[in-house]
Amino acid sequence: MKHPARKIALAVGALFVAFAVLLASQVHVSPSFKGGRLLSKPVPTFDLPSLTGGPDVRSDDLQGKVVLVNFWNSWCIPCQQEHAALSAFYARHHADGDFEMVGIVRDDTASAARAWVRAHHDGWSFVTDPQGQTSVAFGTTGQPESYMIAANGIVVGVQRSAVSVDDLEKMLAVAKSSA
Amino acid sequence: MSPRVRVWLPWAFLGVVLAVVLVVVVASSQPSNSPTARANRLAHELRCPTCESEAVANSQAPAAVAIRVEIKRRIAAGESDAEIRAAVVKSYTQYVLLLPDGHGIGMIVWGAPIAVLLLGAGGLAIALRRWSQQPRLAATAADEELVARARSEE
Amino acid sequence: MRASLGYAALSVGAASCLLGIFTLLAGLKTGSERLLAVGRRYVIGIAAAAAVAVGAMEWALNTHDYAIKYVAGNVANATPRLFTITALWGALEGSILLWALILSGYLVAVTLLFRKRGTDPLVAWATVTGYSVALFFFGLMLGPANPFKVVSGLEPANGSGPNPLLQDHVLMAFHPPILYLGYVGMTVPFMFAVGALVTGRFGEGWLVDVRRSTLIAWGFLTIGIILGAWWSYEVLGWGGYWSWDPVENASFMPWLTATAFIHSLMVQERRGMLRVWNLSLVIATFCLTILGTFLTRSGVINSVHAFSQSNIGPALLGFLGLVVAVGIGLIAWRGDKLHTPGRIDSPLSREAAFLANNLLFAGFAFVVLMGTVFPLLAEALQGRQLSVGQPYFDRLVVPIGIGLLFLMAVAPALPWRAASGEVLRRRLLVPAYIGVTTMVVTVAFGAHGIAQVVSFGLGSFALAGIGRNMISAVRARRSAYGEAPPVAVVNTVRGNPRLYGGLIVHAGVVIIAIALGVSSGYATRREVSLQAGESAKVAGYTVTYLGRTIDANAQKTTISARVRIRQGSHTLGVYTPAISSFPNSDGGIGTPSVHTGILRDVYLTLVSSPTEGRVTLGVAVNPLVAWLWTGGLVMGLGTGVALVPMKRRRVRLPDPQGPPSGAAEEPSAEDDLAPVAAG
Repeated sequence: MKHPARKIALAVGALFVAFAVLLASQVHVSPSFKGGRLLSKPVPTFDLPSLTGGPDVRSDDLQGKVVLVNFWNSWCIPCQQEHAALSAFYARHHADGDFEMVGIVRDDTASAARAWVRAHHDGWSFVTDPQGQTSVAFGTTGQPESYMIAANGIVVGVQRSAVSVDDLEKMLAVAKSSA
Repeated sequence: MSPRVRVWLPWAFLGVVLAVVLVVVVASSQPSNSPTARANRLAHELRCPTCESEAVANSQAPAAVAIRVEIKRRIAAGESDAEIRAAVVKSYTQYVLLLPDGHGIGMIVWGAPIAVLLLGAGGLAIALRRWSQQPRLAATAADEELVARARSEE
Repeated sequence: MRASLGYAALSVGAASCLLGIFTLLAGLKTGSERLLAVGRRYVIGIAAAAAVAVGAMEWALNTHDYAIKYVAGNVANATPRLFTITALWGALEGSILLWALILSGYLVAVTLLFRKRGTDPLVAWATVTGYSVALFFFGLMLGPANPFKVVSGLEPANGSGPNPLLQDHVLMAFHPPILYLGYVGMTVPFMFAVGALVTGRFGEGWLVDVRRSTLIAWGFLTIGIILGAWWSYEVLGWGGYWSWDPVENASFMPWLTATAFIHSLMVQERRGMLRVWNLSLVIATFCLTILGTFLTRSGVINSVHAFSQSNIGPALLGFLGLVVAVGIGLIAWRGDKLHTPGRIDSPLSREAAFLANNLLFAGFAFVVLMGTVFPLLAEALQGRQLSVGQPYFDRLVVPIGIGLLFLMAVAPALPWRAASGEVLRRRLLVPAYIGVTTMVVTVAFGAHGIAQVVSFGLGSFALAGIGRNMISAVRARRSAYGEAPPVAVVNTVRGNPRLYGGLIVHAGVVIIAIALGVSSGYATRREVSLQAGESAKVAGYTVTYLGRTIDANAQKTTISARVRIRQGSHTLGVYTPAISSFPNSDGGIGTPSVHTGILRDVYLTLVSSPTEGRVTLGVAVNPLVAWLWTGGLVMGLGTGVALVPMKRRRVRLPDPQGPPSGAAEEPSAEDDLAPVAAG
């Protein structure tokens, strides 16, 4: 009886070739988590208490405006690096009338965050996320992260690193054109 | 008692006791549905998004802690396990499921090993049956004749 | 200077491999014994080159030669001596260097052991294969994974030090080398498999050669994997010992196929069957070691062990392809010649049990492979990022493990060829009753969890069977030779070291199986927030927060919490879970503190950084963890026993005067049970 070894060996060989092609295609792809897929999805609703003693900030109230949501804290170095860009962007656009900016504190103590805001005289809304619910709903994995939301409530821009003024302007342009 | 029964009786008795023990264990080991147990189970099924490869239950990374808090909050709000899993997946994509979904491409990761094992077991059973059905070597009439002749010549 | 010396040594090594290959091939073609002898001598060049390269690297590491990129990336001025030495295998290039060193050591051993058979073409082909593998690894180091690469620009004043997790525990000195001794050792059986296939000789000689080398490598791999689990438990701080991480799986898959091979080899010895299958297992084991290396060093998979992105991925994949092609090609070519018209007489025989064993182990290896590779598949086919983690493996692996435990309990009692009901009854009934009784007793005492209770039953069934086997053998020996019990035990084992070594290994596996079930199913884990001086009670232990200690030195800054653990009125000691920060990495590295007890471990971790006034601790009480390490030790011992050379078989002639005086006769190895208990 002819031993089926040859046929089995060739079948295994074919399988392996398919497998190797697959592996080869992945060799240059970085495996780290690319983050949640909030892009083109509706913004998660949130209702968060103000950091500085003002009224709560609710996503419903912000409907109809272009909103920049920025997750940050007082000790992370990229947050400190992007601060200048955020300030400049806010200064340029806060008088637009249809633009709002919200900073959500993430993974920090309220007192440290408050001290930072006071020291830098930042003018946009700051809120805390006491139960971490909004951080999870947005699919954040760290800070700083910035989300640009168009007037219809769809997230049109996501950046999971420190932003520059250029990045923000680009996202704003997309938001304004998608309304 | 016939000798046949006497041979099988100890084994049968053993089988009965074994079956009873197994039933008792399965009945008493139903996974708990208390909030802590559910939270623990879910936390072991979800992956920490920022860690190298740890479950949310085992990591102290801020994202993992936040997801654990979120799980507890949703359990307290009365959501089912499936709803909680779906909510976390909505935020973080299917990457966070450590137990791959059985639908779509996930069928491969569950189906392939089970198929391999079943095929292998089937193949083994067939081979064993074929082997045991092959007639054992037995002397033919010609051989017997030869032996008889040789003996008579001694 | 050290860099040039090291690189030169690597070049010499690669050249020796190349020259050795050509000389041996020429010798094989022309049949010249002289050429074959010369070809073998090149192993000296290979080994010397590897030794010099490792020596140069250790020299550079210990003298802080930061001109070399690898040194700058893996030690710092403040790194303690031990971790400076172990930095040799702390990162990618160094680990390839270690691989080359160990491989050359094995090649030397093989050359020495086979010097009397030096002109045998099988040995020559095996050596050619070995040299080719070594050539690949030297080639890697001459190219993409150069450990002696020099820093471009200014030489830094201080290095960045080892990865914080690699300078935490003394196991760093043991786990990688021992694991590599096993992992790399799987090259030797592969060498002989290729030699056998090329020369077309698969007789008894090949079996013996391959069996011992596989067993030695398997023993080291077993201990290396157990040490890795121990390291994970003691150092990583997540409270577990095995997480089905891709690197863990990479070492486990070859272990599974090698274990299958060790068993099915016995079928080939007895019945001459399964030759193709055995050759495939040996080749698959080696291929899995290369695949595992590719998966973990090419950057395609996320892992706790992940080495940084590197460009050796394509090279490793190419080598893997070559090895698989060679293996498949040889088997396809020789397949017909390998076939033997063997058969298995009865499903109730040891051969059939070994076949079932192989099915389960192969299935097990496939499950692990599937789970490890699936994320790659998903990404390649659909662009989605999917994960496979512990819950998946647990669900598929536990039933397979239970099946294997069952086979382990039953198979040693099954005779070869066929079993009668009478034999089974005599050998298995009492152990089976002991197994079921154990289940009843444990359930009565509150045991829960089907996997755990079944493992208790099967485990005690298996141990009872092993006990019965040994007791009847020793008893027979004592009645034949009148030896005292300890002497009889020793002589029984020496009479058939393979059998009794194997039974000891099985006992170790039982211990580990039970420990796995209990430590994962019956553990308690709680987080407690304590003020200074406050205590909390967890699972019968009282933990008290005494205060914190800050220890800052050049290597790291460590903040530890002093926690006193008491059990009732008995104080177990003061334990210090800590969090350390290293100058060149952000984020703290948590270090657990473990009280190891015979029955239970108390495992402390820091959830929050301790202040003078309060701390949040993770307290876990893990039962039977120490049995995991003990079981590993038993498995190692059993492997050692199994490697003891068997005394030569003596033909037993009928002696009318009764048994001869003195220790003249050994029981025949054909009959693995004691002479009196046969049949």
